Amino acid sequence: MRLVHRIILSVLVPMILTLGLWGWLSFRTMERKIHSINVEYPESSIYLHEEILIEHVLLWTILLFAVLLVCVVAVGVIVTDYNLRPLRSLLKWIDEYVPGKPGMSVPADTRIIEFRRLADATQQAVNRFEHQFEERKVFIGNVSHELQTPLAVCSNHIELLLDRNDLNEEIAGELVKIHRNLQNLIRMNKSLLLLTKIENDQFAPDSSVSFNRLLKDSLSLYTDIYEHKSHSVSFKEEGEFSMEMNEQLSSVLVNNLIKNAFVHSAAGSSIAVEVGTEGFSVSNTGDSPLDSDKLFRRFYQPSGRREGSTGLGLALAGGVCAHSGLDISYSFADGSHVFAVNLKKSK
Amino acid sequence: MKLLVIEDELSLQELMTRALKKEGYVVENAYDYAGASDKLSGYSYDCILLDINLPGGSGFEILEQMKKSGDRSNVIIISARDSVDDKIKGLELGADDYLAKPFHLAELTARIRSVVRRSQNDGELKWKAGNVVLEDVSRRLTVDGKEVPLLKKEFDILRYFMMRPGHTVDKAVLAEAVWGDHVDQSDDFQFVYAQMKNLRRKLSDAGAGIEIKAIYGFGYKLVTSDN
Repeated sequence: MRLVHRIILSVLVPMILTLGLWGWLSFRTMERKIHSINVEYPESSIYLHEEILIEHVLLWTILLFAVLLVCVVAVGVIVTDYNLRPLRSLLKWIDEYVPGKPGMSVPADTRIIEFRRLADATQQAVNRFEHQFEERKVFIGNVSHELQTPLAVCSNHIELLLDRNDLNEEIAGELVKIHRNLQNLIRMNKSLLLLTKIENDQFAPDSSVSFNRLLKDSLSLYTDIYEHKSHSVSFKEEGEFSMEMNEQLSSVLVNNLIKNAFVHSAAGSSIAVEVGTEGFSVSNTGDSPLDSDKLFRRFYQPSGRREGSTGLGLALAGGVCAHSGLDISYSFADGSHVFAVNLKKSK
Repeated sequence: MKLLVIEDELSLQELMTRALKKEGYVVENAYDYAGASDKLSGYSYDCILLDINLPGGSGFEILEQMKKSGDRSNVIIISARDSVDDKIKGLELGADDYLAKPFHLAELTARIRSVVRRSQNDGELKWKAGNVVLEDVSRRLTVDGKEVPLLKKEFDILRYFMMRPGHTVDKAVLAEAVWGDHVDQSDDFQFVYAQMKNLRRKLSDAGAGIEIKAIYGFGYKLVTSDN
């Protein structure tokens, strides 16, 4: 129920009823008065005049009542609507609000105290939220940054140990395990740092990127690396897809999607990449659809944790798309997982 | 050869110093801006490892100062800020290379060797081990003066080992260096194994005095046959 309806119900309906009652009472009084007028006329004509008079009075009373009703309702609606403008602009502002975008303050150009307080309260809530958002971003960035040096030191100490000649195979094996896990940690940390940088808008578009070339290079690289899994790889070019974007980000996007296809498909299955003028898609055969809501979240791994995986690949791909005016979507069709990247349709 | 390590993180500084001393370099240290400029004004070094974030100033200022005073030492920037802008700025200011933290120690020594050689041989890089010579720019491998044709990846692998003779290299690290950051650890590096097999066969067929030995099943090491 809208506020206008509620106001009409709670204010106008009693008003209309009162008016109606008042109108009816006036009419009755008028009628009685007319009856009591004694004019010396022949019986029949007086009766006639009386009837006509009463009819007219009734008609005019109803008309007056109707006009009054229309006026009251119209004024009620207009006044309510007019007074709710600050609320509407506030709602519009909240709808359009994007966390982390500076330079947007809550609209508060009203003299009505309640709306002013609402705007102030909203502004405070937004400020708190904004502050937390910023803190969280900075925290993740700082943690990743501060972790880099100790991670490097640990890893380097192990490298020094591995170069020693008095090692036996068992110790060396353990050291290598530690070293590889450290490398995973370093890689994960790097990805988190990259993700934070993307979210902080630290990458400006710097060149015209041809996705056809990027996809082709990436495909040939991974076909090389995953040769032993003997995928059947197809590449279909229906047009040239290129756009202004950051080169580093474009390669993060393409490599993560293609690597994802290679890693998550069984040996001997097929991988298809298609590129058109509006975007590209990467698909690989799979058994069952994945949860498309969680897919682009950090650390979401539907098939359990895979050794050496950071769980950040698709989150990175999603982050790059959101940053660069691209839409990424997942669908499951004909036994294939399909990741499609397209230019964002302007609303 | 004398090196100067300018790094404020003392644990990392100690580690780099240890690793470099083991390689036979003379190593000196500075951990802040003032100390670094003191050392630089008093002594000359063959190669300087320079951190960008220093207490009391930035590594870029040190570079500018060196440029002004006409110091032509080789400089490798070592920075935790892995950003393209920093890299470009550093190289424009006259640094010879840029290494982002975290790095492998073997990578550091290889970069130093490569930077120093480049400045000594007018840009032509040659790696020698026994009777094997690897030319960096023309991408040629010769054994006893005879050329041995190598595929691209085989060349990259051999080059990686020639720059790090005697160091044990983990398969995972090698794969990352040759194939890029995109390799995944879950696949047991069969692609490395396949390339390595061909490369070793080519080397032994050509009668090379070097061998890439497998170490305990996790990595490899370049050894010269006579020792």
